[in-house]
Amino acid sequence: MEIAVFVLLACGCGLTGILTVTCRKPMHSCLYLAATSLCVGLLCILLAAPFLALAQILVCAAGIALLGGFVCAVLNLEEEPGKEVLRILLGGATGGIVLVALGYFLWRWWRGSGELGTGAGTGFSELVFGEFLLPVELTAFLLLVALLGSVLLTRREGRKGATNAERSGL
Amino acid sequence: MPLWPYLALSGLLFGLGLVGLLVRRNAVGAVMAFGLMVNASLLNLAAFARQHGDGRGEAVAFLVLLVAAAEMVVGLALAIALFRNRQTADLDELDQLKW
Repeated sequence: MEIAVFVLLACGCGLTGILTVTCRKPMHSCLYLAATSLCVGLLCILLAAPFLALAQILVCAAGIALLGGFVCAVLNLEEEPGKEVLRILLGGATGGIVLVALGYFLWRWWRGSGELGTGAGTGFSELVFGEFLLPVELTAFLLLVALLGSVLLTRREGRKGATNAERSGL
Repeated sequence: MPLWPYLALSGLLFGLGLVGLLVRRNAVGAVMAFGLMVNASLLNLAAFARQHGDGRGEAVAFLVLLVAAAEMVVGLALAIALFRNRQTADLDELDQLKW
């Protein structure tokens, strides 16, 4: 049963991942990334990490997808023009080399890595609020800085009398 | 259930994200490809956390998720700023610092 669910989710992940990269329109790419994130979140449930799965689905599959879709809608991006052959060749070759290297390491060392355990169980909150308190707080600060940075980056120097719509207009 | 299928899947996702990051010219598309790579690393961390029965892997994966969220927010804001200044989101247009 577990293997069947894994195969289903892995196929979903792979398919939507490929579509994320190959789709021309940014909006489609964004929605496929949301689907990939959803599949990864469900795989986290399979890995006995329910909190992580929930956070992944809420943050990546919902929040980031919404943000990306909003940006695509605001920018009204056109379809990318035809990509150059050289770029695709170089990018594909680099990705292929990385994939082959990863596959080699996987085959050489990790194939005999054995079975998955039963997982860590409950103790996540103790870790996050105990041993990992400082990194979590630093990450919270980082999120605050990212928020301020994104507001500053997208802010437009408005004239004194400009209306709100003019100021935020693209 | 063995560990290696999870590692293979996350390796595949990472490779796909890398290819997307290198091939795509659109800034938003490149940010999305980067998100794919982050998803791959998160899956890897969760799988190793389960194999070792150690919750610290999950905690690190949680931090990775939050940092990825911050990165994508700033990346999309940069895409908007690029579009405002250049009327395009083509990454090839960003070549002032190249030479």
